[in-house]
Parts: sequence; structure tokens; C-alpha cells
Amino acid sequence: MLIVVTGGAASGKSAHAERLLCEAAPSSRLYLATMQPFGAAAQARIARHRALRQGKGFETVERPLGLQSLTFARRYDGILLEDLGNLLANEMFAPDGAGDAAFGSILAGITHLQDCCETLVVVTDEIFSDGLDYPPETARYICDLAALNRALTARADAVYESVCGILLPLKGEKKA
Amino acid sequence: MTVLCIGGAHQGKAVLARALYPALPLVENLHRRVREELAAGRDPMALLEYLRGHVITCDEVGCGVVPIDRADEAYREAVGRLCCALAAEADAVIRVTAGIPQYIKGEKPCI
Repeated sequence: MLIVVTGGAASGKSAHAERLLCEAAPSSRLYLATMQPFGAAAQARIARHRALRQGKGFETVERPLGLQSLTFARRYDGILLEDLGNLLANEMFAPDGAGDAAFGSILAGITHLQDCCETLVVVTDEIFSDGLDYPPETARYICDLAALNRALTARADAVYESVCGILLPLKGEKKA
Repeated sequence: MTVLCIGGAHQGKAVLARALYPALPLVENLHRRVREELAAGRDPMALLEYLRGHVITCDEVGCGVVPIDRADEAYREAVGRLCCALAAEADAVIRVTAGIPQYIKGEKPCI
């Protein structure tokens, strides 16, 4: 099963994604963190997410890119991938990332994760509504993230948008 | 009663807030207030208590690219967190698009 949780910045999507994963995955849970801990803002965000997860029985793996080549010693009930926006930025802009092949590489990586668990929850970002023009590389990033979101929601069993901490069903299961 | 009206800029939030909740005092543009609080070195989350009993409009500001400027990023984050806390307490949360209200929490009052 694939569940996608989207939302703007600070919209409460992480907490909902964790809850959805905990409901779907009774025991073995993996948290797959894609954020690289550069800078104070990233560290504060990581600390906040750690505190949210505490006591919920997650194993944590930090993996900024290259999901396709991840190997696990076990099969998980649930994997929470947080988040797609960081993963795409890492693949596109990090020296060891997939570069121009980021889109296909990420989709293949997510297919691989789906094979490694019963339920995959992917957190992604709504970054498409500020109406500003950006330099070409940023514009490409926005375009690719939108394309990834569309590709994932097309294959997802359930899609939600978190708005002010309220979970709105966009596809699939109507319970929130 | 506390009601939160969110949505993009210029969507008719305040007009709806006045029409739907004429008895409640209105706080407009909470996002601007958050900016002022941050500029003054205060925690915007402290506004929560004051906001109880009001109908509040706030722009949804979190649906763009992460700003390069740290202060802009902190502002966006603070607006989002305050709205999450406010929505959790609110009796109703309305998302307004082009003047059309969607109740994402609670129900429309009988008027």
C-alpha cells in the first residue's frame, strides 16, 4: 500500500504521516530521513521530527539520496519516507546525486521501497503556489517535484493534504 | 467561539468572516501580525490566547519554495505552526478559494 501526504510548510503533515504509518504498520517501522543536517534550520527541523517520533518504535535510517541501492536486513511492516522535496533537491544538486536523471532515479527508488515493506508513506511538499519566477535550475526543481507528486498520487492507494494540521482526503480512504 | 479563515491572498476571507460570524470580533491578516511579533522579538505562539473568541483571517503562506532568507523562512514556519495550534482549538476552520468557503473543520452556522 502507498500513502502520500502533502502540504505546505509547517502544515502538520509529518505528525499525520507518522500516525497513518503507525495505524497501518503494527510493529516493524522504519523512518527514512532524506534531510541533510546542514545549517541550524535543518538541525532544528530534524530535532523536531525526532521528538515527534520518540517512543513510537521507529528504526531510523538517514539516506539523502540513492534509495534504489538501499538494502535492509528485514522486511518492514511500514516505511515512512520523509521527504520527497529534500530527496529531489539532493539528487538534483548534490555532487553524488543523480543530476538530470533524478526523476527516474527517485521513482525507481520508491518502487524499490514498496517492495521492502507492506505500507509505504511518502511525505511531500506543496511548493507550487507562490507565483514567483525562479532561475532555471529552481524552476526545473519545482517542475520535477510536481511531476513526482503526480506520478506518486497516480499509483497511491490514498492521498491526503494537511492544512493547518487538518488532514483532507484527496484520494482513496475517506477516513482521516 | 473561535473561527479560523485561511486561504490565498485576496480570496474574500474577511468578507466571508463578517457575513458568517457578525457577532464575533474580527482579526484580519494574522500572517502580518506574526511578522510584527517576530520583528519585535516575541513568540507569535503567545497570540493564541488573545485570539480565542475571535474570527480570524490568515493567508496560507506555506505553499511556495522555501525562502532563501532565514527570516522569511522563520516567518513562514511561525505562521504555519500558529495556524495548526489555532485550528486545533477552533470550533470551525474555513478554507476560502475565490470567495467560496469550504469547511474543513466544524459546520456552517445557520444565518
